[in-house]
Amino acid sequence: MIGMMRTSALGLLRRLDRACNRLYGWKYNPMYQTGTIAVLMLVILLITGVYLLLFYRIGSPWESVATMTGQVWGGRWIRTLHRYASDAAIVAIAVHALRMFAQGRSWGPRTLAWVSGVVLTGVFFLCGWTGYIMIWDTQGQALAIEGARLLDQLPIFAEPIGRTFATADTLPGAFFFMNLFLHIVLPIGVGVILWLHVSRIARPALMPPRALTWTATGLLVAFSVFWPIGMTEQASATRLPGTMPLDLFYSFWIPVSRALPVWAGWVIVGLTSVTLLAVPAWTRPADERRPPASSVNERHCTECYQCSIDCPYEAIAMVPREDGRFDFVARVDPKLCVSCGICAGSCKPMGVGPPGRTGRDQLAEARAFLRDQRPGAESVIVLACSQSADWLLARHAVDSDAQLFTYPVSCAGSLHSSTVELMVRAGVGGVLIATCPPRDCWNREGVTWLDARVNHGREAELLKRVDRQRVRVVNAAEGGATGLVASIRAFVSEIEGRAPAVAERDIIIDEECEPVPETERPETIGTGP
Amino acid sequence: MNRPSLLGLGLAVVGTAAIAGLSRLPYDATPSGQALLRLSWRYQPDGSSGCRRPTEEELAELPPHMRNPNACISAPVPYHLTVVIDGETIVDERILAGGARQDRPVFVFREFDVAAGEHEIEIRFEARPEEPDGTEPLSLSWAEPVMVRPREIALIGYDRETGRLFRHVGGQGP
Ligand code: SF4
Ligand code: SF4
Repeated sequence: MIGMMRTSALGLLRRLDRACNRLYGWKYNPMYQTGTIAVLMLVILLITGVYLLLFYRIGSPWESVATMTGQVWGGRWIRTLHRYASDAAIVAIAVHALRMFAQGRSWGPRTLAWVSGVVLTGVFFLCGWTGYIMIWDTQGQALAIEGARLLDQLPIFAEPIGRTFATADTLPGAFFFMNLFLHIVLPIGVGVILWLHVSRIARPALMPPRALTWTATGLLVAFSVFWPIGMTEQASATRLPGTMPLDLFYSFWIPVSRALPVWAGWVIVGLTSVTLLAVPAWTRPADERRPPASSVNERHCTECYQCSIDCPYEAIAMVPREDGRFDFVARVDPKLCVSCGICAGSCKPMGVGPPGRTGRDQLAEARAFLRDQRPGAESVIVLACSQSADWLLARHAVDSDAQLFTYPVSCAGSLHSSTVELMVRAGVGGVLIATCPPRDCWNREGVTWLDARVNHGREAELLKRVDRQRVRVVNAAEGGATGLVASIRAFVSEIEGRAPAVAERDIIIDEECEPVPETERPETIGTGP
Repeated sequence: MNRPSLLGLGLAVVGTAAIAGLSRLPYDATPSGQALLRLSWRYQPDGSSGCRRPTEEELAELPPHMRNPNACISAPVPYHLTVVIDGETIVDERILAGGARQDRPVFVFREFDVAAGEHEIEIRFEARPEEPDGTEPLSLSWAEPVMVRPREIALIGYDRETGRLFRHVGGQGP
């Protein structure tokens, strides 16, 4: 059931990704940026909120909002922007959550991020609720009354809260003071939970690319200026509300709640909360299908720190070692490791990675592939990330080309540069690595590190002795199959135009990478003249 | 392709318009011709009536720091609310005061949808003590024809000064 839901959600997202990649290009695809767009909206809310606060009066809430709304050059569009940003944030949060669920990024070490995300959404929603009550128009009153109806069902209040809104046209200032207090305190809670939400990831991206930031902000500002929100009828204790504008993002539940008995409302709230909070338990694969955590072969670790820097989930720490070989050794915390394999690509001596996916395992697999498939001097091997390119290529039958070999890798970021080196030195015409777009790496930073290792000398870099003209990295985004196939074809013809590749014999990369223990090293190594 | 297209920008405008539009969907909160009868009051019996002082034996059973000879001991009094609209009994139920010993005020807060127009409304709110103590138990009643316009709320409250139920007019007291 959960599997089916995930597959359908993934299918839907892939279709949307494809459409957005065509329209915006993967760099600016908002579907890849939903988390950061939500944070951008939060920033807009904070800035506009501070301005609105200057004009808000607890003693005359509706009147003060009406005054702001009358300020054509200030309050009106700023208040509208505040509203639109809060609505857009809900959309962004919903798509973000759907993406994490569909990509299976919701269990194990990511449980904290998921649960804090659910709580964050709840607090954000409450914040919007108090924001509407601040206006004290018919919608705000409806939100207050329905909320009170729910709370009055709980056996904790001596006096029914609903009476507060029922007996007088003028509510006590203390009510609006309390509401305003909550509206200010809840965003602080949002900030704290957001910190918790990203606390288990290294280098969290909090803002979208600049162009997207300005475009999204510009669009919201333009709509705020040209289609501002107006004032709704003031709340009244002696008149039922008539037709009112309802904000679907925050007030969708009002018609439902009014039509149902209160206990049914609580059942829906309870079931929704439990379902959302239980997603980590429901989406966790069975033990035998759960990818194992990474581990370090301490014999190979040379204390370079690279894996602890590259790990996108801060699952690797350097701890003191006691065998005298080096001072520190990498240690993986299995509770934090999501088994992305990125550390396998970081480690020059190939001493770390999930079981069966370390650099050494990758080399062994590549050797077997070369032996069995025998790609020639004019062949191109496409190392295709299984989250995107492999999937795309499977639909476009590029393997009808006899010179072309596809070789799936679990995540391009986990690919060790030695695998590429082995293929090139074994005499393959060219190696093309097809990755996800950097903004859609399921393991966050895999594509970034791969590019840095292949093209910019980041450890574990593709060594200089490898002919760069025979290696290419391309991004394969959803909807970009034609472009990917075209890049592959272009690379194949480029390779055809070169002198045939020369195959080396007896390539022994893994042994070269055996670290020499400190005690066995000649004294000159690592010292100056 | 790595650059946004004009069509993409157009769709972003449409998307933003959709968010702005969904932010103000018209909602008819009250069906036409509907009004509301709302009962809302708080009642707390006079502190001295219906209670007695603890006996010597009762005090002796308590820990020393809890022996208050002036404490007011009362048997919980259940209340009864009856609402009849146009001859039909809508509510006929027992209401208990708040607090674990039911010694807190009793709150009545009820709402009934009614069609706009004139209605004969009768409300009774009475105490029905299980152990009568000789005093006259509370008995409030209010019966009047009520005219409510569409969307109007007819609010019935309790006035402590006069000890009577009354209809608020324009959010004011009796
Ligand atoms: S990358 Fe390899 S050698 Fe460097 S610290 Fe990690 S395990 Fe040790
Ligand atoms: S597989 Fe490696 S890089 Fe990925 S989370 Fe685990 S330790 Fe970190």
